[in-house]
Amino acid sequence: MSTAFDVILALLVLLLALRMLSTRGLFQAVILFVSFGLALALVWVRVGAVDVALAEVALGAGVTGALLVNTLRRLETKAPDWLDIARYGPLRAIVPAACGLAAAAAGAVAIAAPRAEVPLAPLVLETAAGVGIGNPVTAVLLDFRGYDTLLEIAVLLSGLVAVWALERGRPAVPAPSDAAREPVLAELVRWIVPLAVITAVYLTWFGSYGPGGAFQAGALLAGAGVLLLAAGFLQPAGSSSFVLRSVAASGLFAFAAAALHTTIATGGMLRYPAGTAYYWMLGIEFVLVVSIAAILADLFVDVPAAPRGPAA
Amino acid sequence: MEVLVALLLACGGFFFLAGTLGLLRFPDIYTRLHALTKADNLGLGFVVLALALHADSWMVRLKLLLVWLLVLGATATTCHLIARSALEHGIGADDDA
Amino acid sequence: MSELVFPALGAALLGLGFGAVVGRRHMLMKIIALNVMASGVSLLLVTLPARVHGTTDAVPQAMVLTGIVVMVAATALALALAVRMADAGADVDVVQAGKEGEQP
Repeated sequence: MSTAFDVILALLVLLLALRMLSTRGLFQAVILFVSFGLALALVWVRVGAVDVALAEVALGAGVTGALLVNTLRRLETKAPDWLDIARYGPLRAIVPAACGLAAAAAGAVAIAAPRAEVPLAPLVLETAAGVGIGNPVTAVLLDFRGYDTLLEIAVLLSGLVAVWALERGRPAVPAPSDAAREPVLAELVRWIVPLAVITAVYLTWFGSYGPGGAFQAGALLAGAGVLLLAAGFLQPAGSSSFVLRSVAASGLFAFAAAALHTTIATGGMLRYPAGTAYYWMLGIEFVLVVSIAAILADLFVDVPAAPRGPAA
Repeated sequence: MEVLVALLLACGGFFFLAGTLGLLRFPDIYTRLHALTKADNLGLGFVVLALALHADSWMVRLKLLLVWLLVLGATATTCHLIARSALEHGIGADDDA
Repeated sequence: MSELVFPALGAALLGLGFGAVVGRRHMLMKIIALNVMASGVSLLLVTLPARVHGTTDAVPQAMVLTGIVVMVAATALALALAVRMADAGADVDVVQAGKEGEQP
C-alpha cells in the first residue's frame, strides 16, 4: 500500500518537472518550479529526511522561487520570450537522446551500487548519541563534517559578493516613504515577522534534537527580511553598508575563529573539546543564522516596495 | 473516529477540487481569485480539523491551528495584492487574463 | 524493488534536467533545468542508501543540505549574470546570441 503512495508521489513530481521544463510561458515555469519543490519536499519526508525537506521548502522552493520571480520581473523589460526547443534538424534528436542517456546512466549506477564494507550510517548514529546530539544530521553538519559547512558558508558569502559586483552601476530603486506603504501587506508583515523571528530561534535551537538547524532558520529569517523590504519597512541597504557587510561576513568569521581555536586547543580543526560539542555547535549556529539570513535576503536585488496605489 | 477523520479529509479534498474548478472555469482574474482563495482556505480548514482529530497531543493541534491561521492571512494578503495589481494594470471584469 | 521508486525518480529528473539544459533556449529555463538536475542528484544520494542499508543515512542528508544551499548561491549568481547580460544588450535567447557573435 505504501509503495502505491510512493509511486503516485513520484509520478506527481515527474509530471510537474515535465510540464515545467516543456512549457512555453516563463512565469508558468517558475510557479511550477515552486510546486515542484513542494512535491519534492513531500518525497523527502516520505523517505525520512525531514531536515532536507525543511531545507528544500525554505531554500529550494522559497528562496530560489522568489529569486526566479524577481529576475523574471527584471528581465521582462529587456529580452523577448524565446522558448522553442532547437529547430535545427539534427539537433532535435540530441535532446531526447541526452535525456535518455543521462537517465540510463544514473539508473545503472543506482542498480549496480556496491555495498559498503563498513556501513557509515550506524556509526554516525552511535557517535552522535555519544556526543549528546539528538539529530545525527546536525551532528554531521557541524561536528563530524564541520569543515564542509565552513566552506559552504564561504561559498554563500562569495555568491553574495559576486552578485554585488554584478550589480554595480545599476540604478538603485528608491524606497517609498512611510505614508506610501501598501496597508494590507504592512499589516500582515507586522504579524508575520515577529512570528518568523521566534520560529527561527526555535528552529535553530531545536536542530540539535530533531529536524531543524541554522540553514532552515536562516532561510526563514531571509524570507521575513524580503517581506520587510517588499512592505517598505526596510530600505534596501547597498553593498557599501558597513553593518550589512559585517553581519553577512560574521558567520564565516565566527566559524573560522572556532576552527582556529579548536586547532590550537585540541590539535584538530573543529574537533571540539570533550563534552562541549553541544555548546560550540549551538553558538556557531546562532551566529550562522543571522549571517545566512542577511546573505540570502541581500541576494534579492531591486525588490520594489509595493506602493500605495491610486485606488487606495 | 477514523471514519470521521476520513470524511473530513474527503470534504477538504472536495473543496480544493471545487476551488481548482473555479480557477479553470471562471471568466476573469477577480472571480478566479475569489473562488480559489475562499475554497482553498475552507478546504485547508477541513484538512486541519481532520488532522487535529487524528493527532495525539494538544501541542500538535495548536501547531496545526497556527498553520491554518497563517495560511489564511498569507492567502488573503496575496489575493488582495494580486487583485490590486490587476486593477492598476487596467485588467477589467471579464477580461481573460 | 519498491525501494527503487525514488532512485528511479532521481535518475529521471537528472535526465529531464539535462535534456532541458541542452534543448531549451532561454537562459532562465536553463537555470531552472540545472536546479532540477541538482534535485535529481540529491534524490539519488539520499534514497540509494536506503536500498543498501534499509535505514536513513545521515551523511548523504547533510551532503544534500549543503548541496541545496550551494545551489541557491549558484542560482542567484547565474540569475544576476543573466540580468547583466540582458542589460549589456545580449539576447537572452542563447542561439540568437550565438548567431550574433558569428557576424564579423
